[in-house]
Amino acid sequence: MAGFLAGLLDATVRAATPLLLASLGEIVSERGGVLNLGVEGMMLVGALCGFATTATTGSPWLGFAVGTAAGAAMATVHAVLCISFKADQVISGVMLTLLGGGLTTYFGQSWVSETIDGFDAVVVPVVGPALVDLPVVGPALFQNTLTDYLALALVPAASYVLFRTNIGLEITAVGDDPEAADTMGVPVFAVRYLCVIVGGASAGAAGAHLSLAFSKLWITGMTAGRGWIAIALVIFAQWRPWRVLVGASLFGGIEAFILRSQGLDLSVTGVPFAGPLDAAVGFATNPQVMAMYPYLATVVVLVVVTRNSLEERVGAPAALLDNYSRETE
Amino acid sequence: MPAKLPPGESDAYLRLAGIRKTFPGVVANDDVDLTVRRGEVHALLGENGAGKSTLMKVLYGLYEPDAGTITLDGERLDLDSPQDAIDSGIGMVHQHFMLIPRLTVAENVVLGDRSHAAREFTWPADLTDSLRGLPGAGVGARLASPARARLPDLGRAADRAASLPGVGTVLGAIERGVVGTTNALTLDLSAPSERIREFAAEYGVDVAPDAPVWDLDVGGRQRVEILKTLYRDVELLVLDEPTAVLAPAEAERLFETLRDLADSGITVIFITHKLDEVGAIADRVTVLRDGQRVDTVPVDSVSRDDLARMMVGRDVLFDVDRPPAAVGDPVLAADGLETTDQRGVGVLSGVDLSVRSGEVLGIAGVSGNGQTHLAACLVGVRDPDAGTVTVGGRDRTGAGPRAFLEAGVSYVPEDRVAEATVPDLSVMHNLMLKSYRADSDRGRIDYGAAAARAERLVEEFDIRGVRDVRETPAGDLSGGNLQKLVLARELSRDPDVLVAHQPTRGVDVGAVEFLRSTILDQRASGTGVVLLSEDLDEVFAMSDRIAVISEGRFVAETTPEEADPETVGLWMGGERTPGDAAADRPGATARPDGGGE
Repeated sequence: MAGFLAGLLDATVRAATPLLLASLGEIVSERGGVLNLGVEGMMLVGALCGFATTATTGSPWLGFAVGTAAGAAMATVHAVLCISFKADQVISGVMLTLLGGGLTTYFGQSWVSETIDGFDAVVVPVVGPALVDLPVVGPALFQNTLTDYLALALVPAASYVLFRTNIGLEITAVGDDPEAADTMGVPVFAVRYLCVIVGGASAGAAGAHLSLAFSKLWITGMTAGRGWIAIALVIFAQWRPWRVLVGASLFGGIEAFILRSQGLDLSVTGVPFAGPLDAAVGFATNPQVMAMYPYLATVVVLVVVTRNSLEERVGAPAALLDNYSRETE
Repeated sequence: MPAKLPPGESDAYLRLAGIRKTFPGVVANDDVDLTVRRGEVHALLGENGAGKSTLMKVLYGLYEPDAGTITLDGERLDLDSPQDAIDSGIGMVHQHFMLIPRLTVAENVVLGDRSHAAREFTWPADLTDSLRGLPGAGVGARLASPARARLPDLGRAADRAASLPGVGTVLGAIERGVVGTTNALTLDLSAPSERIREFAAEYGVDVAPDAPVWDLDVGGRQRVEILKTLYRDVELLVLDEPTAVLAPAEAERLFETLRDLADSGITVIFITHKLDEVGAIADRVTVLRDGQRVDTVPVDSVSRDDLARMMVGRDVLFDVDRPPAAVGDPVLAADGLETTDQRGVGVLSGVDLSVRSGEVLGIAGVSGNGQTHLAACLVGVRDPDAGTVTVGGRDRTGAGPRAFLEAGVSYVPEDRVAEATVPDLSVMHNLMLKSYRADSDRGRIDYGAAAARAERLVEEFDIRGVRDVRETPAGDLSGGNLQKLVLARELSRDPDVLVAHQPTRGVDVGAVEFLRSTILDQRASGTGVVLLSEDLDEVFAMSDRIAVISEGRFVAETTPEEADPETVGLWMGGERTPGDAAADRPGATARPDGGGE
């Protein structure tokens, strides 16, 4: 059982990282007032571009950078459409997801059977060698790829930037009331562009992490809905970076459990009502059913939050989906 | 152009000349000239839709004018954005609050101005030392004391390097980039908070710097708006209808602040459509009508009637004619109404009232004392926690808005944009919102008839600014005309009951006169009216009986003949007079027979 738990925890950290990266970026984008539903597509493009670059040059860091840049480039399209041309944010985002899926399916065919070295798990220096042998939690906490640690480091960084800096104030302002921000001399459009592009870069990085560190393979459609979970996670986390860490661990844990529970015997015997109980456990641990848990959790959080949201500090950016233009009369 | 200006304009501090601004189909400003002297309070008076806000948005860099020039203190201004206006010392308090509720006061004040960030910022000493050891150490050392764009003050090494062609530019760009990034990625609120406290002491605009804005009342939010401009060293302060959201006492406090500001040398432009405010605060006044300047005059040289005539273009009656009431049977009654807000705090605590056909019951009170809940309960939009509402003798408690509507209850809500209309829908659609069911033929709507009806109502209620009833969105109408639209919809149903909440708030005098006389006409035809208002002139001019609401219950009941506005004003503030028995008893009633005896 300890071995199973250690494996589960390790897999949880690894599954959480792409969610963490993509959700942190989506938080920045949405806090700036622009919903980006293209995360899934940007992750796919980031994954393929990163993989192809690494397979060609052999450098995982170069691949990671190219994957990040590819996500940023797709987000730039979203920014131009939504911020400059006032296109509907939902339509533009869904279009980019479909585009990313189509493009990577087409251009990814020749990379399907390729292999790369990618990022290897490394032991944390100084304290790592001593602690990595801790039972159950050791490998999960102290032996991961560098991109896992990068994602973790981005949590406090994002929290600091959003809540403790001028640019964070300006992001909050353009996301809540772009007109008010404009009257205060905040460059609304520049700040929104920045937020959307940072969000896309993070999605691209999340995709590159998938293909370079998580699976070290390119598989068509390999994001498998993680982009959508990342968007749900932003709501789950109420647009706050630290809560994203909690949510990503939870959702990552579910994903890890789905993968690892298949060999597990969870049947219930020898207790009263064993028959119906067994059926219920069987249903609840069915992989397809478990794949819905992140969305169910998001709905539960939404319900709980709306019931308690007297305080205006929680909740969605007030001007999310509003495409601001100055002269409307 | 100077020929059009009154004499004595050579001392102009601000001069707008020939400003023209058009929107599709509308000329908002038609060659407007405006001259403002240094240190004066200059009122900009005009009806809603006269172009006052548009002119000031041009001055603040929000709108780009089609033609015209702006000169401030002898210098021609070319404003591309509000930031340019702020840099020129212009500050503006907008009609709607421009605040981010989830941020604190101090955060709202510094928003958009990063210069404060670096004031207290120093690099860690060891980092500075290691930078000194690097080639080009001058730049590194310079970075240890970042301040915005002090380029000539480069370090010695950088100076030498900068003397080479091109290098200075590059170094400058790098320094600006580093300082800019540093400013973007830091935030120090201690110095701004200190300044906010200083302003508070100097001008009486006291707000706690670390209070979240969502927690402030409207008066507090307004003070934050003024703080925002003071923090940016405002020299010319523009306020766009700042009293629209304020209770009378708060408005008086605002005027005191504005006088203090003017005394300290700040020039103030005060947009309003309220004649009393012009007399109370301004030195000179410029009147706009239909996008054009009518005249600029010293305030003490004109009468209130003169101003009203300049503003509306005709004589205005301030007192509506209220013939004696011909009262009939009770049409609406409430008994023991109690409600709580979303936090579970009591809002209404036992309100009884009864209105008979053909009379106006005025409910006077400072807003926020339960009027919104009371109005909503009386028209079925909110179900009371306890108590009953009776319409035409039948208990309708909990029956829902549609039952009330079909029982002949009409409602003019407090918020005409959010509650009373659908701004994106056309004038025709808005006018048929409450009658389309009755007018439809087995679910089919006759749009031809609806449009004809809408045109008739637009004509009858003098709703201006409607190009095509089917096309013009209601949201395009000015406040007064939108309110006429609401009243047209509610009264065209010939209701038995009309509940009107602040029906003339934020509406210009010409429309006020029309709205009040229309409501009184409806009373004459037998409708029972409940009028909730904090405007005592309105309550006294319109009501047959007056109930005073304070903290969710009636504290006094009187008639316009028995009481004077001063006494009612005191009651509204919660003060009771010993002689008034009704005021001493909790849950005093506003029944025509004098209550529950």
